[in-house]
Amino acid sequence: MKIKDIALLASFVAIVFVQEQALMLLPNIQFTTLLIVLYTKLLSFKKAVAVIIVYVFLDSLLWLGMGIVYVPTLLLGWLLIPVLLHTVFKRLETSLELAIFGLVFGFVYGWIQIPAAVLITNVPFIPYLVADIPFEAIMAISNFLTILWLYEPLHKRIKMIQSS
Amino acid sequence: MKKTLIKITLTVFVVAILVLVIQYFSQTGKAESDGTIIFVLIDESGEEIIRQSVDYTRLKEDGDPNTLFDILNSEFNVVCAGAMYQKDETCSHSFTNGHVILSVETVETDFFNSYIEIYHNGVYSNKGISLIEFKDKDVIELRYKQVG
Repeated sequence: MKIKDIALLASFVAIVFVQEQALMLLPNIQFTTLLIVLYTKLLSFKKAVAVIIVYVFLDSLLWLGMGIVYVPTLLLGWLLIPVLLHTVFKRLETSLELAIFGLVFGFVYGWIQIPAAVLITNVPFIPYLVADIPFEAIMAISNFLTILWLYEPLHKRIKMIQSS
Repeated sequence: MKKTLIKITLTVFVVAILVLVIQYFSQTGKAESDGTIIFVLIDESGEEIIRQSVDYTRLKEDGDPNTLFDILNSEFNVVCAGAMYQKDETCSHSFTNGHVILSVETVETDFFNSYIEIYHNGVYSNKGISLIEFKDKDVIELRYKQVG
């Protein structure tokens, strides 16, 4: 891997990490899904996975108090994006298709976190599932809107920078 | 132009759905009439340290409906979670789904390692303290719970 590639991946990790911390006060409103979808489309599978692993590692270091049990589910949740977009949903290209993917992913990501949350907090499964619905909806719609409006301009701009 | 119009339409549609979902899940719990609530507080050792009947009116002085949180907060020493889950003794911050209680009297939690469970008439509550609908003679049990 060239130094330029390493610098690019490091910048991508920094952007996803910083935006998440900056938006932490807003429940589940973030650009993380948009950015990971973008990275998945711009980078190879291996590089996208590397960005996600480093991002989850940094996030876990910061929120270690929340419990290490969350690390596998966080990884599983975010890695699902490159896995799906490089396999079964490989043909999704337009911002609308990817926005619908992001919408569904918002709920799937929420469900993936439930086992760890139930294990850690000892909250019964059904109450947790019900209480989480509005937060999943916020994430799903936040994903939908950010991908719908920002995916194409960001993709074009980064492609331009990469080619120059 | 057509593409932008589709995007705007979809945006308005999904935002409207989100507003409806949030409204549905964050309706504050109200009482049908004036009455009495029995509050039970259980500490970390499982010991019942408070069992107290509290009279309430359906409406507050300002005309807004009384919630369980309002009644609890007016009768006991309550500390809530702030926006970053820090202690907020003023309880001025309310989340999408109402207040999160960190402490009641001597039972203290920090949200991350421990929290307060709510049982409504002996049943684990699916809703937070601000959202529970209640009636006369209901029993609200607040139990200290260790995480993990």
